[in-house]
Amino acid sequence: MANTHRYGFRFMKNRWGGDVPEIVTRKIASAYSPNVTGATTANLNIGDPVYLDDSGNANLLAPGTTTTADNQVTQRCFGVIAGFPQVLINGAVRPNAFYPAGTVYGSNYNNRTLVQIIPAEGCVFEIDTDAAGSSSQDTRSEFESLVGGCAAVVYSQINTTTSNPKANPMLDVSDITQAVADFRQLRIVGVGSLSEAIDFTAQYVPLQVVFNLVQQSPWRLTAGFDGS
Amino acid sequence: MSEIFTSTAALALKDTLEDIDTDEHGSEGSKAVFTKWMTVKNMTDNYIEYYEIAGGGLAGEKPEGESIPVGTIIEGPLTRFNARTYGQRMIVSEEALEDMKYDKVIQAAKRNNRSLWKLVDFDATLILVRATNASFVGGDGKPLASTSHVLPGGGTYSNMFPEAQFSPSKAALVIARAQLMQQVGHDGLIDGVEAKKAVFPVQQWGIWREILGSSYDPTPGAFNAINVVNRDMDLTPVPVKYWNTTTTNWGLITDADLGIMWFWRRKPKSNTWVTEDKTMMNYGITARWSRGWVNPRGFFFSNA
Repeated sequence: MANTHRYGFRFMKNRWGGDVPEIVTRKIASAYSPNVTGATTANLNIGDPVYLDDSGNANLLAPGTTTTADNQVTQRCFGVIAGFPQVLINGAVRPNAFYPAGTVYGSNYNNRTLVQIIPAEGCVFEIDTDAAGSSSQDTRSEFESLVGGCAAVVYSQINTTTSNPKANPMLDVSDITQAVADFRQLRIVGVGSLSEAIDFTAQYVPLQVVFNLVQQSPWRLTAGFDGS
Repeated sequence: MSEIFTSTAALALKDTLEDIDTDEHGSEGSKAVFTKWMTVKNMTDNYIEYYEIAGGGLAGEKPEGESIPVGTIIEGPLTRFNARTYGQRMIVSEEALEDMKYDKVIQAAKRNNRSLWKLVDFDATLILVRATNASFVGGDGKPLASTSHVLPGGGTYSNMFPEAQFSPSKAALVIARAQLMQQVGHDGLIDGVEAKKAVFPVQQWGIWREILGSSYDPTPGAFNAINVVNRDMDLTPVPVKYWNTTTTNWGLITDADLGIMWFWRRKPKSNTWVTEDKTMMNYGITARWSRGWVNPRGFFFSNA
């Protein structure tokens, strides 16, 4: 049976216990518009991964590129969006289910856009694959053997004709690698919770992942968030 | 996708909406399809086992003065059902619970209920989806539908059409019934079972209605003949809407004991708790079950 697509990164568990994930509230820059490959006209939505820039603003994580060096600062994840408690809508702030790209609040501190983020470190998320796997990636045992492998985040925009186009992050199934010389954003740690109900021959296979490229200490030793 | 905050459904924070467009969540359990084609039982242990024993076959001739031929019993495979736990939880902030103006927005407990009961039907339907999949076998090492199910004393038997597979029709059911009438028992002797239910994808609802509902032969050109399926077979149609991997396969549930079964170790149980330091409410639901078959004679399959 075809797999039902569930949007974005879904919090599964914290590796060190706790039934509710920690939340940090950060801001989004005035007039910010996501502009990364695959999501150039998207809003920010719950389940999207973000990195922080040196001004403390959340930005949509850049999709992964095939690289053998850990030097892609905009591909390092800070966390996953869980909500938008304050967005300037029709001249006044209120909670909103998404961040409309280009929302301008200027320099008014009280009107700034706030975003709730689940910090990536220590958390296991579930994410769907973007396409059907290869002939060696279409059974449960083959996907289980990918545990420990790394893969990139990729975007495939949905709802592009509505008022809320979504970036739709997924795991690039064609980019999974087990080579020790390769760097990728995500590390696969398990098969999704749907277990027997997953069709491993189709797209949207849910996999459990942790973020492999993370901004926070102690994963990053150098100062600064965005390398500028 | 992780937690439900006021922002998750922000437009429901004020009384401005006429209605909420969402899935129905009432009494999901009573809408379940699997109960119509599976035998539903309970299990009381972590796992349960079924043990197949076959008798000695035909009795023999005893010449005068000689001993009576000796019979025996032979063991077959052990089939074990392990209870597995399934569940879902939703995490909702206290603020969202206080501020959402519409009951139909969050309804975490009802949404959990729907999610779990849908999984029940999906999980049950996987048995049909994988009917001929050699990666999912029963106690005899064969998939549910096979032409080479193993007899304890040696030899094989079949619970599907031997070669050509048939679309549903009167003729197909006549052939199938004849095969079922000669279905062998555990000892390999012809025993016979009777089809009781027809399970099929919903795309076949019309043809099954014609086959089972017509008093006279629904085959074009043969309208004067009686419809033996309608008159002699007491088949109950069970369209399985979750069986969406095929439009052409179908199966029959027979009256053989220990066919396709569903075992509740624990029916869905809801729970709620509060994570105090974050004032977040957790709604959980879990259930434990196992499913499968012991006796493949309880099923007949057309891999059309």
